[in-house]
Amino acid sequence: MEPPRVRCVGIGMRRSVPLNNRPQAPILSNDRALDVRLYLLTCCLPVSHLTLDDAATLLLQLEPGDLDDLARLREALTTLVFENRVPITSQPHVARAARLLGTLVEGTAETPSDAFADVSRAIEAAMAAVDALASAATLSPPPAAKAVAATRSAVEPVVTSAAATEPASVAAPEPVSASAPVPVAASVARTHAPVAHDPALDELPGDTDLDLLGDFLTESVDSLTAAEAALLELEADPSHEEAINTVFRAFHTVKGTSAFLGLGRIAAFAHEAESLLSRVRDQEIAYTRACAELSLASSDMLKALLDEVKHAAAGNGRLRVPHGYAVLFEALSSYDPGAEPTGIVGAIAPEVGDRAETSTGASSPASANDSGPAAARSSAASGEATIRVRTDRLDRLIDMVGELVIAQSMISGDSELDQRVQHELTRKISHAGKIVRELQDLSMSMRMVELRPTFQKLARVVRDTAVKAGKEVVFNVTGDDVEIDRQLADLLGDPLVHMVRNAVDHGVEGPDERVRAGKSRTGTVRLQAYHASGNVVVELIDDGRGLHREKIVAKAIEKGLIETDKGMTDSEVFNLIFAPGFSTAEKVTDISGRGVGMDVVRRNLEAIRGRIDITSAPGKGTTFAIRLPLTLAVTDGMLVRVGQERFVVPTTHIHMSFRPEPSMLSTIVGRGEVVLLRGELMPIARLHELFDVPDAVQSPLDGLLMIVGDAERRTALLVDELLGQQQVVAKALGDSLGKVAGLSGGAILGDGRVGLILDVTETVALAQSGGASQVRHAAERARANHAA
Amino acid sequence: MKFLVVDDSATMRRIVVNSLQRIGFTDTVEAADGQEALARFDASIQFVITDWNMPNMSGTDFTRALRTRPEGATVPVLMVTARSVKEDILTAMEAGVNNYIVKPFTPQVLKEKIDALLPAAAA
Repeated sequence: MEPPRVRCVGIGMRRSVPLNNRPQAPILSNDRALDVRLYLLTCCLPVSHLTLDDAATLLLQLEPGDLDDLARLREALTTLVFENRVPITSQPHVARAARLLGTLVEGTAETPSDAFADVSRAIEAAMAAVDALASAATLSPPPAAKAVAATRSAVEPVVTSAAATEPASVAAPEPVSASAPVPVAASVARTHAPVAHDPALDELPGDTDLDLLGDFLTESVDSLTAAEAALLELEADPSHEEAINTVFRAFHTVKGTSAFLGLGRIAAFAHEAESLLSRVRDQEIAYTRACAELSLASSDMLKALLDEVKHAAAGNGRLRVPHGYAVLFEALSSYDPGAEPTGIVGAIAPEVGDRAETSTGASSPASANDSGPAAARSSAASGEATIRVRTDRLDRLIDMVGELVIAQSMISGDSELDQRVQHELTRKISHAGKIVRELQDLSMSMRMVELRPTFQKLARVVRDTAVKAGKEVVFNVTGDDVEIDRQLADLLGDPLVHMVRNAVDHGVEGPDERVRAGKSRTGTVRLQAYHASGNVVVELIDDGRGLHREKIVAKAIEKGLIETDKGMTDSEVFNLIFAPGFSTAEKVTDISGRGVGMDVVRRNLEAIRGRIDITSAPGKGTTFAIRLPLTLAVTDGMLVRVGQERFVVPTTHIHMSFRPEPSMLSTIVGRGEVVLLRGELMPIARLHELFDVPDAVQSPLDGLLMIVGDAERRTALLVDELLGQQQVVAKALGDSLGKVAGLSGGAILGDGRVGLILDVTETVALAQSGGASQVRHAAERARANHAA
Repeated sequence: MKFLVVDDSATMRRIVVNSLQRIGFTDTVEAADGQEALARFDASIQFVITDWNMPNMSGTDFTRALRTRPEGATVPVLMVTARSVKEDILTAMEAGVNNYIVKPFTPQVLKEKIDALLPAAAA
């Protein structure tokens, strides 16, 4: 079909912008249609919902031949008029636009290009009507509105309808400023869902059991996350029967439970979503792309609805309707596969009906116990019964076990215990010690969760980013069964999302560029997790274009981060992208261009005691390796002595320790004491000076230097001696001290004394700024406080 | 609030009027077709409920004519119909009808439809 060269759209100033940018080559029209579809889809999502203005903008980007998108636009406009979200004077025009779009979509329009132009004119007229209303409203409220409002208040005692009253009181008396471009937004701001007329839906039921509600929320979010993963699987393999059932079950469970809790809106929506999936499951309709988008959007919408419940439960008790609710609801309930190809229907195994029925029956009450993704994934996992425990109880348990371990070691190390004489007592004590250590391991494992849910979310991020950026990307995950502290798993999520987006958006090249570079069209982003020396390592690997050393150097010099890259290793250069202020507004091809820089990523990771390293080869790809402790409850640390004090240095930050030779030491003007190790010059930080510890080793030649910190600012800490590696239970220093610079907490050591845990990043910063004296007193008080 | 109920069937008019009374609206004027409705309409009418298929002048024609009058430009019009095909409804909406209600309906549904329309009228 030949696209008309002239668009007969006259929507004032909005016309020019997209037209200028319109790609003329038809080959691009697919990508563009995808963009528009995404845009339409985001209109259904909580970002914003479709207004007349949106419709006009979208229309500008469509052709009479873009049937799918025109159909969506029609749905959106139909919803607008059917729900009376446009002013009465504007409604006929919107209805006309919707009907004409219908003729285009159904192919009944006599001359599509004319009909298309008519649609534009109708929308223009609709907007003009709105504008007219707005300017009239500025002068005086229309008499009709006044009268209606007046009568309404008189009628109210008889007709008690909060749902209708409230929008009216919001919309009626407010004069809309004449300069406001789109007053529709004001009248549309309140989404009227098809089932939203019942005011009870806007509130939590009065007798809500908050505990039950909390469980419901956790469970629902978990099963929706699993559903999302299954939906992505379905996209790869639409006949994946178990995946369909997983999604169906998730929606079904949310529906059943929410109805029981009196959350009518969620129940109604989940019902629609479930119906769509049940039609897929029963082979009534094929699982197409449109169906996939709708299902994913539904999952998001359900999450948004659950969020509302969460907020309402925490605060004022009002449940707002998420943006786009009505549009999506309508799209779900009126979903019509129409002329979609139904080829895959036959491919689904015939026994799907039976199997599905069993799972439906079992899912409503039983799956309330499912512990989310893991359980939903394998139906065979029913053998592993689970129980939900509040995390604060678990934390207390772990704390108490930590105390028990220390108490135990105080007994076994007691000087009054003479092992040569008291054989029997010694044996009993060591037996108890063994049990206590096992107990500690067990209690730690209770907080451990698999990385799977964290990784699953990223599959969605990869997909969405790839679609948006026009990339073809395969996402591989290995090691998602590696377990990590739940708190860490949660905190790891955001940095990973950011990094994965970067990898897809900037790391992987577009298909054409890849072909030119002799690679496969499809890029690969791999996420792998594994254990390494007591840490969990999460690696994000892409096979894209790699980091561009020269560009990074140029940018760093421009930002004043370095003066020259002379003598800098590649690794040091790459680490510059983590420097604060490195990547901001301007796009540096390979690195983030989103305003949120990689420095935020690193800071977030450091907050959970993680470390991040980059390796990259031009044209081959980039690897980000994140090294994390297994848990935050226990710190794996190196116990060091400084004078009579003991400090714990987290092992994730230690590179090496060594005793320097006199030839390695020197003093440089402006940089102070430095040590030269294998060609690398590092400043020496004296812990005893930083924390004012008396009687410590003064010369590095008599003590040890411990190299800590990040690649671009390594520092050698001077300590007296290493006492050995030890796991300690980190404790806050107490409210009276608050945060002490250079320290992240304290720990009770095996002999009952207190060791201070170093915050390495801060300590290094302190040493370099030289402003350590202000923390000395605080550190002193910390020790005193803890000992007490 | 004053209602204008337009229907060629007297029984139907009575059903609508009774329903209105049960949900608290007692002030009603009746008309048997579009022409009579146009004659009876004045600025005191704040809500119109009309049938679609009527002799002399149909509900859509009546609404279209009503919209050309200054006092009829923004009054909410609810169409009573047995058709719920979207395309048909859109045609009616194009004529100026604001919402529709499918026969048979309960007073509660009628109330919901009216409630839903009032904010749009006041905007």
